[in-house]
Amino acid sequence: MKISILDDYHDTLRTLEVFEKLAGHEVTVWNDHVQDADALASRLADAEVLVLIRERTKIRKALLERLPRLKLISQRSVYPHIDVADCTRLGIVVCSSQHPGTPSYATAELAFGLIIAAMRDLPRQIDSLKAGGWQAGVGRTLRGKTLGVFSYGRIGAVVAGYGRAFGMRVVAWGREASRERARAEGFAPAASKEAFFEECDIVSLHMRLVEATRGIVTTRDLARMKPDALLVNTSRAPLIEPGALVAALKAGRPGMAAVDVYEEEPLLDIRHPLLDLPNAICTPHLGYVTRDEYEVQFADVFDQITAYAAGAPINVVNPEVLKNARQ
Amino acid sequence: MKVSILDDYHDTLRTLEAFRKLAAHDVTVWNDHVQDTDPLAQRLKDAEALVLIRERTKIRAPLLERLPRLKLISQRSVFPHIDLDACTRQGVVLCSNQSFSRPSYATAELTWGLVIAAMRDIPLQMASLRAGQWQAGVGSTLRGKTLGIFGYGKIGAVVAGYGKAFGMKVLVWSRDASRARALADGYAAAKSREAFFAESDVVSLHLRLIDATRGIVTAADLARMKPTALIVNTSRAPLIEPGALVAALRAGRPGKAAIDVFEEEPLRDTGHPLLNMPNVVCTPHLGYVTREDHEIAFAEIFDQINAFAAGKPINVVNPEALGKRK
Repeated sequence: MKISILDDYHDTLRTLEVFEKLAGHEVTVWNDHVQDADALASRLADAEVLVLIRERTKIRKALLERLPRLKLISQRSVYPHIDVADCTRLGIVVCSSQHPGTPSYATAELAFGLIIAAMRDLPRQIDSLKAGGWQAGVGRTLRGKTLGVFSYGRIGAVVAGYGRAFGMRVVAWGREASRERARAEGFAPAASKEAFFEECDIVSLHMRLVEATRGIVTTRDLARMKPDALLVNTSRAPLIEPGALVAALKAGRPGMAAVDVYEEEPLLDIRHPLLDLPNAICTPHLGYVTRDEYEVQFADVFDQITAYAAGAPINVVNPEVLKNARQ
Repeated sequence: MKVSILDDYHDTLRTLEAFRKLAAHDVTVWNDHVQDTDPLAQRLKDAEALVLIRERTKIRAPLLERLPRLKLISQRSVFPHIDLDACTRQGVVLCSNQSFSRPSYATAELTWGLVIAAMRDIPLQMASLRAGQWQAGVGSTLRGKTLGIFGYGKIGAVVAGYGKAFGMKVLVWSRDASRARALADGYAAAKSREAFFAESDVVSLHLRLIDATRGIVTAADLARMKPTALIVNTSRAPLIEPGALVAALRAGRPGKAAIDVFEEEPLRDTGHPLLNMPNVVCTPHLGYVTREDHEIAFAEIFDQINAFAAGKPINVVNPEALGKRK
């Protein structure tokens, strides 16, 4: 089949062991990021299979209607960036493993790395050393501090475990089910959402972005945080009310943030207010971006292609399409 | 007593709760770093007690001979920067607690922060984002990789625990006594020194610097490391043979380093090769530099001053100096 892969920024996929799964197919890899429908329609004119890396490119109706040969979109995890109803109408199968049970350890590790980087002011200290200034200030020890995990899902549970190994007091918040699970695994839930934001030295967000969680962290929540507290977001930017984080950091509660996710990605606007704040550490959505994580994820994505090609598609998110799928 | 404190770079000590222990004394705090004998002798000419922060300033005989009023040096941990014989000769008592049971969690935590920062290229990725370039490359996951702990002492044991919690295979290389402790704690010991360096994806050094450990990591050790491997040094620079690390990184084995300690500290030479290599993350000896660890360390250091002032000195390193100077 003719397979097109979008947004492989560093041409990493060809170097993975799992790329061998595509042997026998005709594969085209695009390394730059393009969102314009004309340019995408031209690039994908012959594609029978489209491989997406996370939510990097939006696949909307206007584009889908210009891709007459497309039969399959293969990707992994959630798909707010795909017009699935239009795929179904046009006879395009969407396969997306929801990887039950396997947390993204890469994301959990990055979240913890950002916690230490922020508590020890590593970026500023590194810059100070490179400028001949030696030390730039005094950091803080994690041991004994309170780590808040909001909420206790797959990744949150892993981060909570890291906190415990570092001698931190771990507190969970989230829906009743996630608080129950935290309690069952030996982590105390907070008494209330207010108490959670007030007592935590570090709050790390670990939630899916769905309608119920959009803007779930409010201006008032952030204002309850301590002046020396840290907020970490490696999940999704819109979990926090629009504009609330920048305003909160300017007001000094919380005192610091470490952010891996943005409203618009890729973030190419160097004037974005978070990038200018001295008390914010910003990374370019690196959560899942490790070679090891790619091996795991693209094994799933490529297996979906192989299964489809063999006439036995797996992880189909729009099974009703199979009645009138394009041949 | 007249107490002088050197090298408090960020005027942090006054803001510690432990500082109240000095309430009865006349305290002078110096924030800049000075090593020349003349200005130090001038600054300390009236000092009766001298507080040192780690090994930041060397206290040698020519300086000690010019400090007639000095009775006490109060600090913590090892003292290769102090001429102990000269202190004793001059009747200056050195108090330095070395029997602390609590490991430096601040150093262990920094080590872990450097491991993740290097494996995920955080400084480079941040710079790329700020330059409007979005991502700069693809990192590595720790889970499933091999963490090599060289020196299973107090800090090494804590870092090994972090590695275990992160789902890494932990491999220990250490002297016989501490190797037995590592095995008892459930970690694997490397079959040989060669295997230790060849198999580890991350090697972290946790050794004291003494004659037996100076240059203990050799060019040959580093050359055995994988091109994708990372070496982390939050202990002391001279544990690695002079020049071996820079040469090894240039040769590509190991592929990366994260370094908190340097031959000369404070390092102010911006031309230092380690500061100018894209595959190296360097921090300015931050291991012990946290507010919480300062509270613990300076509570002890100030207790030593009060005990001395009360005529009941504690943690005395050179008891033969006691009573020589009034």
